[in-house]
Amino acid sequence: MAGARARACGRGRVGKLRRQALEARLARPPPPWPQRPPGRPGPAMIKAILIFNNHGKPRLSKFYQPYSEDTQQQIIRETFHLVSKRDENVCNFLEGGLLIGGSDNKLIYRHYATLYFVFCVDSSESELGILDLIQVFVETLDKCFENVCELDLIFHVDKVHNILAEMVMGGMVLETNMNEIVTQIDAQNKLEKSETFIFQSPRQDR
Amino acid sequence: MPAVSKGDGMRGLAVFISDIRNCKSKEAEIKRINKELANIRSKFKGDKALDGYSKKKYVCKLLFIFLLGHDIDFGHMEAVNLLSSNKYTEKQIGYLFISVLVNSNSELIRLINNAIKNDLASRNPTFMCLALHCIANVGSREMGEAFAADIPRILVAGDSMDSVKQSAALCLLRLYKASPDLVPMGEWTARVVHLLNDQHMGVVTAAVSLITCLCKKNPDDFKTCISLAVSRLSRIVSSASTDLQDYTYYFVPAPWLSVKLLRLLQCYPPPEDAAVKGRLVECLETVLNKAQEPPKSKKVQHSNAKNAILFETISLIIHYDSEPNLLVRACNQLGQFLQHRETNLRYLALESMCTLASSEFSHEAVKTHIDTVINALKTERDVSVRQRAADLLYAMCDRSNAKQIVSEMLRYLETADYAIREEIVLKVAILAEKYAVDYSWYVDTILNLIRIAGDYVSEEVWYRVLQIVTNRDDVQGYAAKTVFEALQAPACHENMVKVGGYILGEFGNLIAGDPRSSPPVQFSLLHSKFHLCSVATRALLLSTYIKFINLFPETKATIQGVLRAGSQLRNADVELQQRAVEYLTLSSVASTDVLATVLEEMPPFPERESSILAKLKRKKGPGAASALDDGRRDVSSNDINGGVEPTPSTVSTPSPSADLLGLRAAPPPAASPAPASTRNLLVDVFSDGPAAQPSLGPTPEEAFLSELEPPAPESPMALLADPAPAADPGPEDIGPPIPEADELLNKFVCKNSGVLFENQLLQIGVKSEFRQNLGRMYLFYGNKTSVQFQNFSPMVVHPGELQTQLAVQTKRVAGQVDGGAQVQQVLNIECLRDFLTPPLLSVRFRYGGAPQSLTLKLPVTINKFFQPTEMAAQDFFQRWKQLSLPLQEAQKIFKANHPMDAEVTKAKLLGFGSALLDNVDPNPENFVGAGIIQTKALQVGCLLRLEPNAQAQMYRLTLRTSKEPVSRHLCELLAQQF
Repeated sequence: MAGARARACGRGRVGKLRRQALEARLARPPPPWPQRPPGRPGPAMIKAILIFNNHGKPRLSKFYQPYSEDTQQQIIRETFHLVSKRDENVCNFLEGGLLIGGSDNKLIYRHYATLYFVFCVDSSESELGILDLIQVFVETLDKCFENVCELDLIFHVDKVHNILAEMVMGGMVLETNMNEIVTQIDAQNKLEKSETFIFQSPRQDR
Repeated sequence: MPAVSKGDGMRGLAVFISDIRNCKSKEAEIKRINKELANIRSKFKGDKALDGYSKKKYVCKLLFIFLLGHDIDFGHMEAVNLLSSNKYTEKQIGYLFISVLVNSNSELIRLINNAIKNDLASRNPTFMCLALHCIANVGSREMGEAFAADIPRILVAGDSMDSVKQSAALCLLRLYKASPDLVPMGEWTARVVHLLNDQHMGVVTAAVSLITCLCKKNPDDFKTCISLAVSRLSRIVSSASTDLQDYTYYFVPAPWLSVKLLRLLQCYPPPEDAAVKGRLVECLETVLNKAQEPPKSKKVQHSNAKNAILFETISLIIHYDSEPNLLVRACNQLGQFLQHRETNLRYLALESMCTLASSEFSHEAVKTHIDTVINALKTERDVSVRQRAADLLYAMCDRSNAKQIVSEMLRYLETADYAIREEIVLKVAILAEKYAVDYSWYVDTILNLIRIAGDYVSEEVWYRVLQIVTNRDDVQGYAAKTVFEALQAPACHENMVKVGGYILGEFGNLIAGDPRSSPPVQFSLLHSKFHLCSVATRALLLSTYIKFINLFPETKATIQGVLRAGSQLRNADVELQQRAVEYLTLSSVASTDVLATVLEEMPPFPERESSILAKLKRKKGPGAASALDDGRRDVSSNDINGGVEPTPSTVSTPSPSADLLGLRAAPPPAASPAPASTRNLLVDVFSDGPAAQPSLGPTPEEAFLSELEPPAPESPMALLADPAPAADPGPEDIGPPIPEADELLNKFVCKNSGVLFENQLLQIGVKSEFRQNLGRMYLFYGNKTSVQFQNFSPMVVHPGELQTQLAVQTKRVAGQVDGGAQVQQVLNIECLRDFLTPPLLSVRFRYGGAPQSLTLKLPVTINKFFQPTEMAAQDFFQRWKQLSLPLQEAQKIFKANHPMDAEVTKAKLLGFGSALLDNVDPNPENFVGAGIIQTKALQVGCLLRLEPNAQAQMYRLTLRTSKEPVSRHLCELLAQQF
């Protein structure tokens, strides 16, 4: 009995000390900064990059956040649905679909001939900056493929991924300078060429 | 020369893709794909070693198939093998496959990490970049653990190539975002800041991104970046359009880097150093000036790039909020964009103006654009733009223009897109309340809302109008008159019936003098709607009727007739039936005095923040409700998330009828207290139990004491209140449990207190007690930072059928947790029947504006409801034999994960909940236990036997219970403890 009481007292004292420490901490003036949250919350990030054609056929999908395969397909469909029903000449930004995170995210897209290029970004990315980035991406594709068209994207998915990887990495913009990107891709191609001689004859290649 | 020549693709791949494209139907496509998958699978499985080229080709095919939406469940191993190739092409395709088809398969991750480690150490910049890309793209915690320490070294190493530095910076950023605790701060941080001076603009861009993220956590460590960023920015801004050559985009020098630098500066207050500040202001002015210059190109890319910088500059100006001159200039510039022919610019201008509206210097300037904005709301073709216009109107609203804005928004509501109606309704409701000069205008507005968009008027909105009417005598008569008139419309929305029913029940007497709205007229008007309404509304109307009996004795006979009707007294809905029976009895047995006391008018609600505002904040995130913060003119309290915000009661919104009779002081949206009966039961259970054991966690003595006090006498009408808790939010509302959740849960199988979870921000302690099928758990949420958590809302969710197996009642906690403070939450748990999965605990809050969410498994496992049972050896064996059906037994043989100590094992078994029986097993090394799992519905007897084998370092565990899934589940739970 006495032991139990002693224990209880001890616990009480610890509790009291902890409370005092807490009060002391709370009594201190708050840290001077940040006084207010920055204009846009959180670090900017690209969540996903999607390319699909006018019928919603995906031509490239790159997700920078883990989603299950099923969700990825649903996001592509939802995004297509949101983007394709918009008129030409409306603005290039809209709130993201529910699957990708709702109004905390934005879809920034451009429509070129048969293809939609859509970037899903969080609300702290600069909209116009991303539009520029899409333009750089398309111009780079155009340089690499010479008059790029949908077929190039279909038959060279790996190349498109490589080009994209030179621009965006882990959802963050790596490089915006087109010449730099093209130089890197050229260097890769040289490497590839130098390795080609060991490949099989293309005729038996199925 | 094009960088990718068209001829050198892989022929087999091209043929396959053409085949797919030629498929006439979906079925044909699936067939072709399955054929190809089978082919690839056989190639991968075949004896013949594949050369790198073939592997590459097949992996490419798999990628293509994946893109078409088919699951790929093999090929990962081959892709991993490609990583260790020393040919660039093969390595690259391997990395590509992995970053597209990330798999959290831990076996593979180890192999992948190994390959990455080799590539990082290879000193071949191309390989290093591939490896860094892979880490950044996958960004998983395992990778963070493996590489977070190496990457800073690569980043600041003197001999790293520019491209490697660039990739390393972003890679580190990604890891830091994913798991900030893994990235060690150190002397490298100072050197990262100096990357802002790097020759290579790409490196600078990557470094700025990294610093922007890191400095949020440790602003002081990175403070030196301000002056470096300013001087870099000023060099870019003042350079001629051709100076930066490659980084000049459509005649604009380095737009991307400029935007990033401006963003970085928004992490800090205005520079203290006057020289730096002067230079920065000069920069900002230059940007504003350049925006007015004639464009150097007619291309849209030129204007986009220029305006990207301009908008970010304006953001910074708004952020500083200290240069009235610049703020007004910014506002004027945005004003020009409001009518720009480019839709994008109109959109962005409306968006930026929303933030400008909250600055004291520019609020008036923003207001001058009201007509343009209203016009945009009416005429814009694009719903995104209209939405921004509605946001801006909301932000610029104040007493002077509230009537105009509210009426415009109401008008817009009639044609608004369905998607945004609810939001507009909330906004109108808030503005009408906030800026109401006379409350009759407010009542009119809300009734208009219900009339125009009744379906979108949520509970919060109509609860609120009732609160306000109840609290203000001057508007009660008007409200009664108006709802009475509104109800006369042949078709009115059910929400109108609810509001009408409530208000007439309370204040119908105020208009009863007018023969056109005499008591019988009021009653028959309400009752004419009765049959068209849902159960909840009918329940509310029944309460209105009993109030009428008190208000207007002359209606008593009619109403009793209604209550007595078979359709009420024998209603299939138990709530309606109960109300009819109880009200009928009450009206016949109680004296007029008793009736007058019981059915008295509602007392005023305590003043508190509008729950509508909370709802809007929840819906829109921060920023949406900024206009309503009183403190908006005050820089120091400009935190729009701050202020008092009660945690919205998402867990249990009582039905509106709960407080209709006004016997509780709490306003309708408050959670109803736990039913008294359960509380008493728990008090009994605990009061005769032994004293609480000393615990690791903080002590809840006060809580115990307060709970032991006799419960406050419940008012006699509590029986009539509706205790039905609203449906729990479904599990789809919360994220999946964190990866460690199972491991954390395992720690609590044999103990009841300790630290459940801890990261940099939050510590969750737990202490629980269980008696029979009841339990009480204390959760302690400790804020480890110095910043207040906002919208703090922990919530218990029962996935699947658990709802019928376990009842958990939670008490709400305050919505804010101060820095360094701890809040406690009490959970009352009742085990209804045996269950296998634990409930989930979802904790959400905002920390420094960023939403955080976390899902854990609540440490409630079936063994917590174990009651130890002592029995003699003979009894034990008899029962053991009785439970001899094959399914009743579960057995597991497993390796010891901990040293095999008999005392520790004993303690664990006791902690598990069973009694330990000595002298039962002939082998004294073995352990034998028995107990009964207590649930409300049934009792499950359990016998267990644990046989350690010290030589083999193995255990054999055997469980026999009367219920098969329980045996297996207990066996699994217990096996993980040794």
